[in-house]
Amino acid sequence: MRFPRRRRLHLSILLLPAVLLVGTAGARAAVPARIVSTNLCTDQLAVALIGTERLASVSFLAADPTLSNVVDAVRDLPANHALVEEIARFDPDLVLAGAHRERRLNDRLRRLGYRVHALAAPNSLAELRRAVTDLAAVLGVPERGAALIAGMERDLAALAADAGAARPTALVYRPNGYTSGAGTLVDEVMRLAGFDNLAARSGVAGGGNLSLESLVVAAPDLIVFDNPGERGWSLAQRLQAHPVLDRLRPGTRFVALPGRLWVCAGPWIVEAAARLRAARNR
Amino acid sequence: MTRLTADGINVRIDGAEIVAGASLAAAAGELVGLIGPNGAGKTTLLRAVAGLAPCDGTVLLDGRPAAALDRRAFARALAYLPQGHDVHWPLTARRLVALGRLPHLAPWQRPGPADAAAIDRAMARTDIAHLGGRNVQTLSGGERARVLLARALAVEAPLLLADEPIAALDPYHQLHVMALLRATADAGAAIVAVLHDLTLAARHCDRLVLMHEGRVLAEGDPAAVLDDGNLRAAYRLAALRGTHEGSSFVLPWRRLPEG
Amino acid sequence: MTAGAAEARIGAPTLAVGLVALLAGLAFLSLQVGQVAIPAAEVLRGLVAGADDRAALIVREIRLPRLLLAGLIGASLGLAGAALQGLLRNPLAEPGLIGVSASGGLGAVVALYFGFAAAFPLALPLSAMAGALIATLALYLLAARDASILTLILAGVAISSFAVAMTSLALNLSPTPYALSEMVLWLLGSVKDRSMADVALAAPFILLGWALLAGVGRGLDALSLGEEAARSLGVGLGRLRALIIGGTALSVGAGVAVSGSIGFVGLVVPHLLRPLVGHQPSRLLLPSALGGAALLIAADIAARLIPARGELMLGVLTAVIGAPFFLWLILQTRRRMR
Repeated sequence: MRFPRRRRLHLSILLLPAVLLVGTAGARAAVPARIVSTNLCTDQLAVALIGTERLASVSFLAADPTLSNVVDAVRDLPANHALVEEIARFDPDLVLAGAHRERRLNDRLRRLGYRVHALAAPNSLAELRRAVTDLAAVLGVPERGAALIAGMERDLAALAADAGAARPTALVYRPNGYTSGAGTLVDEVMRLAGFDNLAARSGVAGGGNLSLESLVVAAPDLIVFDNPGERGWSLAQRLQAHPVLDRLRPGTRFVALPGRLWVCAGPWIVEAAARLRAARNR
Repeated sequence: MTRLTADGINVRIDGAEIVAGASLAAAAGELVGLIGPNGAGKTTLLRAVAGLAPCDGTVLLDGRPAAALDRRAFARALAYLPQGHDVHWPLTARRLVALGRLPHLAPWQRPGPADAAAIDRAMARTDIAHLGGRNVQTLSGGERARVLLARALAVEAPLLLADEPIAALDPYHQLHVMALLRATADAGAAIVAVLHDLTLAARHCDRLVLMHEGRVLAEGDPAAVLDDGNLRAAYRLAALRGTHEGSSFVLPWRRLPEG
Repeated sequence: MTAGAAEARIGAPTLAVGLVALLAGLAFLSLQVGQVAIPAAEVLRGLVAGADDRAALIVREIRLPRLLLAGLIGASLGLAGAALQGLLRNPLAEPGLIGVSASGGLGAVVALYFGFAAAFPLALPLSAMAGALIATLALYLLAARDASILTLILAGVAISSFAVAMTSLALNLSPTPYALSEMVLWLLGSVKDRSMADVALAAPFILLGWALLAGVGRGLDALSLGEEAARSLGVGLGRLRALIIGGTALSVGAGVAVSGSIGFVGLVVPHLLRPLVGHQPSRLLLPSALGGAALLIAADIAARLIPARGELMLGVLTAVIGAPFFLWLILQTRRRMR
């Protein structure tokens, strides 16, 4: 059909707002509106960044008060177990997952056409900053991410400024004798709180196992248990109650930090650092 | 002196009456032969008297009720030599014979010179002193039978019950063991032995007790017990008889038809 | 079970003294070995002089309980093995193979992972001993009449498999997240990182079990002649069985309660020592206890010395020695029975 020249001009003028409208609508569709988070760490960071409004579901662990810092917030949200059919039922436009599930979950979801953002566990503050920034961008709230990071850094800096000269030694002691050495976020937080991580000093890199004998010989000024509230009895946890540890007192002090402060990295590590600092100053 | 008096012994196993109203007696110095066909209840009667099978009736040892004796006193009063030559561990002959002294030892008491002497006597009588250090499981059938008999003799109990002590022995050793039992009886023990060989029973025993279908069919002097009538009734046999050098022999000769 | 001269080549006192000396040497070694190097003089000082420095703490609170438990449990396994073999007249009977240890482990797991032991500490050894008792009784009922090797092994396999399956089920149902990974510890046994509290919990029951087993020697000797001859010698068979079943359940059960299920010690040790005592069951009891203690302490030393990720489980080491030994024993016995 051939339009007269004048009509064509009118049509273009009519089309322009439509194009603009569609364009901006497309841009708005890029900000996810139905988000399913399948991982405790992404749950908590997502809630910290955008609240629960755009979240369709969080992992079942987010409701566990021993592990999660956002129990109250997610009270009314449906829980998922990171199963593909469950996730599909929510029809999300974004799925948040842990990078360690890459093969089993993330890959399959992507092949089914879902958009998946994978979060790797940060091993340092720098990595944590990057992870928060990336996640905030994907969620469409970059300014929120920046604010979260700024707040965290401000609080940590305040703590560090207050450090004082003495650097007592400390060790994290987990079930089965696991500890965190150099190159972990726990190590960095301990240093910020004013402690010298004995595990790092003895050459442990990343997560490592410390024998009870080595622990006794090391005799740190502070031993940190970071898993209280775990359910049930186990041989693994019994190690943390071995009578020989009692014999290390009073030279060695003990502090129990709730697991929820360590299991995932996030702004709450400031609380962990603050508690460690308090234990030091006691 | 009557060492053993058993009266009115009834034994039921799985509802079947194996022994009914049987009596058995043996005096010091007596060798009593318990004979009868297979399944007559001989072993069961012996076991009942030895306290190894539950039974009705009375059993008196030296005039006293057997039930009144505690386990060890009973074991000292009555020695039992079971059928079979089972020895589960490769013990030396001497250690095995030494087991016969257990009834004489208090729980933590070590064997003393008296025990060693009894063991020596038992081994000398059974002519196995030279086998003392040998592994029992490597001995021949005859040697092993003598070792087990020595074990029973080592108890030096006034009453010995032996279940088929000469079964599975060659003729030489059968004669040897029978002579041994005779000598032991002559030395003062009361012995009841289950036997299948009629001639050996006749030659060596003072009295015979013939059992048939759980009951005592005949009892007394060997010549009287082994008459044709009893042999027909109990064994369904006709036998050849004779005497030689003063002793009689009884040879099963012909099977007899039913009835 | 060898033919030929059965006279013991070593007198009983000599054997006992030799084993005690071996035990003393191994005990000393055991205290020397650990993650942290401590010179021998300091080890002795920490043990005897009651010093309170780090080295003494390690020796008294970490290495000593380990040594004591390995000794107590090894002795129990050796003693119970010798007693069971005498009772069943079968050289293949031993607490691990016949499922007694596995059942004790089931009892322990139920008490620990479902909160009973937390409420009432004695629940742990009692539950383990109950499990061990049930298994010993079941085995006796299944295998006593027919003491053939086949029946015994089959009964043991049945009891063992059932106990292991129930143990995994129990761990699966338990609340703690570590349960499944701990199954290995219960099925293979370990004395790592045990404390003197564990020793105090198990030792009284273990010693009581030994007291029951100590007096069964005579009866077992008499049993060499068969049940009837034994009874005629004045042995109370019912009492003998009760002592052995009870003693095994107590000593093995209490040991499993604190260390998990360890196998093959009760098989290997009596078998090796039997020729040295002239195959006489009563003379085998004490040496088996001493030998069992020595074997387990040696295995525990090896577990710490052999380089591996973490420490090797005690049960792995005893199985490495014991399983081939068991196969050889079966072949040898089958050949003899043919």
